Amino acid sequence: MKLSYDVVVVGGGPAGSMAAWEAAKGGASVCIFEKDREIGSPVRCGEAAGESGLKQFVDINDAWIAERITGAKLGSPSGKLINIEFETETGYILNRKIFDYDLSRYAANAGSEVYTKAYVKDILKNDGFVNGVVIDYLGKECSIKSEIVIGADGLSSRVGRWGGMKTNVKMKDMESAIQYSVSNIEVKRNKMIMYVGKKYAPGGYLWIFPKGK
Amino acid sequence: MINIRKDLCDYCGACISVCPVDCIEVREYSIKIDSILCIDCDLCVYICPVEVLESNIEA
Repeated sequence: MKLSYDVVVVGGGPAGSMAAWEAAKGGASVCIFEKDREIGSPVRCGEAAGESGLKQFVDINDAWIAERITGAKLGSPSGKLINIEFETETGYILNRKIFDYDLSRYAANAGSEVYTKAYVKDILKNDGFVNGVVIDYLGKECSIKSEIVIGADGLSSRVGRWGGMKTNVKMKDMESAIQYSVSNIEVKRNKMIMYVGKKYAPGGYLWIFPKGK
Repeated sequence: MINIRKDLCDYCGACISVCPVDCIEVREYSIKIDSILCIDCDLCVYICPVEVLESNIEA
């Protein structure tokens, strides 16, 4: 681990890895710090993504795809079910463990360093400019200098706040959820299911995504 | 002051997103709420999807 980089990226999810990949391709010295012990795990995500969105950034690797989604069944509050066949878009249910890991591997292959179990606990500032981070790594605290700090630490990002931005989320804009992986149930492959309405999902929505056989 | 039922916490970080005073720290397998910075707004209690957090104003 160096004591200074051109770019430090906080968070090893897709956003952090893509940022690190681009910066490394551009010739910057880059380091990703990820607080969890693994990239891509645990998965706290429905893992649904559209093909056209992904293709803008990466060549899609089949290993990332758990299921292709070609249509949807939507349940309305009145109970009506609507079947939709996608005409111009293909959806994917991803294996984010593999997807996230591959993106970080692309960043690493381009020259970025990647540390897991590295918790960024603060940013460094000098003269009103952000110039690094303070990490907790293997029980030791160290200061790592950088020209740029990219806060890719997710919805509950603290890096933005430490930098003086109001990144906490208003309650009316938050919806918390729980998800389960379930096997041995009958679902149509290639179709996603979504319900709204108080019978199944009061105040929110319920989704069922097939994840392959 | 917020009580934390650590055995139920999944370390998802939803609580961090809503905290107006940034007094919550969630790491891979730990959660800590700074009771001095906490203003007892209880937004974290409401947003937690697994009801890990409990308001405790007396303490």
